[in-house]
Amino acid sequence: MRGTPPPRLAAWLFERLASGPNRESLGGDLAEQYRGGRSSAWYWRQVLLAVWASTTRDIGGHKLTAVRAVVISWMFLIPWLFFTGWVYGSTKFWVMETLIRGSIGFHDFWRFLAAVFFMMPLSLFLGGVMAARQRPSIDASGPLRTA
Amino acid sequence: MAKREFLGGFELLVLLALIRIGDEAYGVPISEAIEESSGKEVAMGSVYITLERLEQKGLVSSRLGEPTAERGGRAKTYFHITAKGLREVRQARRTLMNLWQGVPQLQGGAL
Repeated sequence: MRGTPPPRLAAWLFERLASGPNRESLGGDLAEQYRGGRSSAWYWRQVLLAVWASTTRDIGGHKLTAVRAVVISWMFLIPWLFFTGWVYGSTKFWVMETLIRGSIGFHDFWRFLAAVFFMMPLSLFLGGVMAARQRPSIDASGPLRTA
Repeated sequence: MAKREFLGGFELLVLLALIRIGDEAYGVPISEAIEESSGKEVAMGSVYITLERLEQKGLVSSRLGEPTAERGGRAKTYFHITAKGLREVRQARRTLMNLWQGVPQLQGGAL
């Protein structure tokens, strides 16, 4: 029997991202197995698979809410994409325009991409939160998992 | 012919593990029983999702145990197969046996 607790980050991720009526029992089973001699790699693998399984189950069980979350997310993302495109020198279809004409510098292009990738998880999160607020039965960790 | 839902392959494995283990069936022994018989690692999250689905179908019932220190203060959930679940397993066995018989490729022990 091992005395050390399971990997802290994996345990934290499990607590925040896994869902379902038996989440506590599953967390206890994973801790018990880890203390019984399973490896850290095994623990990590089980946590990631549990998060993946509960996420796909949640999406499958709330298809309409999932579609609503995607639509709301794009409602946040599209204005942001046009804004960043405008900031970095293109008012039309920013990526193709700037790549083909070369009207934007290499560093500006990467700054543009960074701005887009900053907003993407944020907009997904906001979309998930707004969709979940309309369905109080949905687990609060859903939007974070979606993001 | 009556329209009925078939048990999935993993659902059948979980139900058979429940029958084998009996009253002390919770996540750890269930996954160990499946791993020992199949020789493959089992995702415990998938075991629980399958158990939840089986419970919704009325094939399995559950009860909460006491929390223990080795589990970080978390309780075990014990699962038990219901009479309906047992009937479904018997029906699945009959179906499989009927299909199994008379298939030349499956005769003998070689895989």
